[in-house]
Amino acid sequence: MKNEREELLKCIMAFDFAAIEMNLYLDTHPFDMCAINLHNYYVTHGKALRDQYERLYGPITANSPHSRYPWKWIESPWPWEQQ
Amino acid sequence: MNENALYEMNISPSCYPNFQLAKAYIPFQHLNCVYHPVTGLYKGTMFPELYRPYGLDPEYVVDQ
Repeated sequence: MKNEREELLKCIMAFDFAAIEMNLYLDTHPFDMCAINLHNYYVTHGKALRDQYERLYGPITANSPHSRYPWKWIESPWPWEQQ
Repeated sequence: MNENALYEMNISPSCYPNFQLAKAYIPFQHLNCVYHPVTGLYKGTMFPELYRPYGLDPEYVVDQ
């Protein structure tokens, strides 16, 4: 359970990183269609993973649209609380 | 006379034909294949052509 949660979080970080990498590449290569497709894929897939994580485990950021009742943001674990 | 000394004397090196100014250049990157995002995050780049790992220094043991 905890491992799945961590794995999903790592996956989200990886896709966020990949999207930023393509973002930086495209700033100097704006006509690279292949890179644009990759960028769009990383962003879309990263968003889907984030939605999945937030539905399962609670918000990653306070402005998440997935908070249930009661307010989920204040629930543990915080990122620095390694269990 | 070294170049710093020339600057201190407020003389431009370009006045001296023996001095060549350096030119910096960067080859233009072309996309071929990219790493999987998880691999890329660990390597610090998504692009195999930019991956330049430091060699292992036997005296530096923090990562081992």
